[in-house]
Amino acid sequence: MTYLLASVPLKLREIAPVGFVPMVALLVLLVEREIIRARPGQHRQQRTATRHVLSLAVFPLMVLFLLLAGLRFLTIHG
Amino acid sequence: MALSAVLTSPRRAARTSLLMGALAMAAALGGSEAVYRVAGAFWGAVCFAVIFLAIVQLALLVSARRPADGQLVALLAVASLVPLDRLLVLSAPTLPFLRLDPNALWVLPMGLAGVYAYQARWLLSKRRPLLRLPGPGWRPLAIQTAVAITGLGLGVLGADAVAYTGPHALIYPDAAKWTGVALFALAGGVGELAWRGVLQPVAAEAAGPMGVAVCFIASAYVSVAWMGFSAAGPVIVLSGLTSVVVYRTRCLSGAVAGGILLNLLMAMLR
Repeated sequence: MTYLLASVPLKLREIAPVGFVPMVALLVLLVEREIIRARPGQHRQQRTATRHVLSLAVFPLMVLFLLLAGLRFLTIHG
Repeated sequence: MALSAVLTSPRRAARTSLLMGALAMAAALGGSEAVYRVAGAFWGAVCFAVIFLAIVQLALLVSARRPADGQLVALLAVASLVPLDRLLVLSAPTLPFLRLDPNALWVLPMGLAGVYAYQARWLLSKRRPLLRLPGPGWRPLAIQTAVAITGLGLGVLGADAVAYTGPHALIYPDAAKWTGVALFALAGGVGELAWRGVLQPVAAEAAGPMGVAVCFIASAYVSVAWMGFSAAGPVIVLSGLTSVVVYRTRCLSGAVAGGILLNLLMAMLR
């Protein structure tokens, strides 16, 4: 892997603007999750459904973010 | 006295409203594709992100207003996978060393999302399609093997039919090419898991065979948008077959194996 990165760099030193679009979407969902969590007076069933929907939406975007962060770390420090 | 469709046939009215929702979503996705072709990947990704967030908001709204209507919440939640798929394809980092398919990295978040949704018990009230054989005897095994072999044959056919001038995986093979091939093959299995294992059962539960048809159209659309018309042809043929087989047998193993084999052979032999 190290040889591969050395011979063909990942070219991730500059992140393309399109890479920020899912990050913004992730940020929106995370903020919304915190707002909903802090809101009082919800039924348990309603709160569970909300948590499920937001988890399903947040999970892939979080994976993409971690992937991008990991690759960037490899590019800089690899 | 004339009665409305809602009063005379609630199930039919629900199907009609689902069809209208699917058409509205198709129009929004079509518009986003047009923006992507005209204005570039950034604005295309913005449009898909907006659609994705809008569907999630709609699911949250339904869960807040109608907590008992879990089926509609589940349908909206899994429908958001379609714009999410396009968003990931457009915005995943492009790695030049994956020479066969530099943007194949989108498969990893989408695959994990597919596994997460497949495991989620709240999405389905009925039994979900299995990733193992549904029963004893040779018949279930024969059906799933036939689907996998069909995927294999379509992969060979696709590799032969698709015009390709890029690097070949079998000539001077190296780790970079094989990583690209592995991700491309994984995309086949991920697609089958997400569309046939997650979206189709939820859509079928809500709208019956019409839900299966809508799910097939959605999977055909994402294939064409990612691979182009010529390469997506064999994938669409396999999708048609797996839609019917998974709906009838409630078994997913042949579909996933067929999807992986199709993409593997198409990437290796082209």
